[in-house]
Amino acid sequence: MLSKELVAASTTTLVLSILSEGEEYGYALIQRVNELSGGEVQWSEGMLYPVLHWMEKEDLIESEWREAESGHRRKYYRLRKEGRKALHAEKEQWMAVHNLFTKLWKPQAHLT
Amino acid sequence: METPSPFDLNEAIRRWQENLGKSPAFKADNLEELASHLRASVQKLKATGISEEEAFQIATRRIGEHGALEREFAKTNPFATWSLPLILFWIVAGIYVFQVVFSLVCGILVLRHTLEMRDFQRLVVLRTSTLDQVYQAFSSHYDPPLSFAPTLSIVMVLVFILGVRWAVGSWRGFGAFLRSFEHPIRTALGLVVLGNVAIHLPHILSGFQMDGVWDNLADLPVVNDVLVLVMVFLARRGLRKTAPMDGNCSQSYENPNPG
Repeated sequence: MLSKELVAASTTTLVLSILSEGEEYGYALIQRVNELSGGEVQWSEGMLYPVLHWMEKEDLIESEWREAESGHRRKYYRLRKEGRKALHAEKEQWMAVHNLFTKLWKPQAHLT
Repeated sequence: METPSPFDLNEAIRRWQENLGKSPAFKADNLEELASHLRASVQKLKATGISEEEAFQIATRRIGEHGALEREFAKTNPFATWSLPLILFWIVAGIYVFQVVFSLVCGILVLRHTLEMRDFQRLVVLRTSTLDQVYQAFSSHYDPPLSFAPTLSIVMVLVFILGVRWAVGSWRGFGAFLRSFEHPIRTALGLVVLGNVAIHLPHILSGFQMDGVWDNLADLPVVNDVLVLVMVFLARRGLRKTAPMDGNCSQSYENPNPG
């Protein structure tokens, strides 16, 4: 399981990445992360919404209430231009960290 | 799978929302979104074969504990958690603390004869009526020379604290009341300063020259006591309605359908 700090640090990037594939509502975002990470990344469900609202305030995403098949209303979030830019910048940073660790840990993998 | 059950999901969700809605941290839109989340979650959980009621219980647990949710949502709606009683509390508390400290310091200085009244007036920029009381209380002209003002101000602080505790309903509620601000320390300090500036405004405006009208207006104990009375009596009902103070909320939404 991912530590609390890493979950907090990666939430925005994860949301941006998932929304870059298309619009989604809160519950589905959580399900998506659960599935993709095989349960390694677990968000405290209710906590996602304040993050989404903050991202909306920052113009990274926008939202819209729409009726779902069940007849109940759902709030869908979609990426905005600013969000796309932010995702691009985030990607570079995470990839830099990823590459660094890959290089550092490679020799050790051979030893064990 | 569709067994008839007395559990009503819509009603349970409505009650859960209502409970959460007591806190000013949640807007109507937030509550609807959380309810929509619960519905989706219950739907998914029911597909595993458990009852709707069980699914609801698990879903509410997963969405998060009331207090934690409230704290997180309050961050995005920062001004929503401001309340008039709380603002008044810090203003009045600040004035009282100032009075206690000031009257104690004055009392000690006069008692040790390190300061004469005239020097005192030159030294202390804000000449409050508390100072006059202290001087009278400690000076040899006063009979009996009791430590009247410091004792009085401490007693008044105690009365004030007990009054607020009574208004809120319990000591635990008092704690929750104080914490219901988003930035308690910073904001409280600001209000304390604001309160003291406001209370000394008549002196400042009159250029520290006492005349009858300003002097009466700046009569600290009267102003304080009026503020306290207004706060305690008018806020009693509002306080209980707006803030989740007794911690009952989390219990009631974990078990929304007892019996």
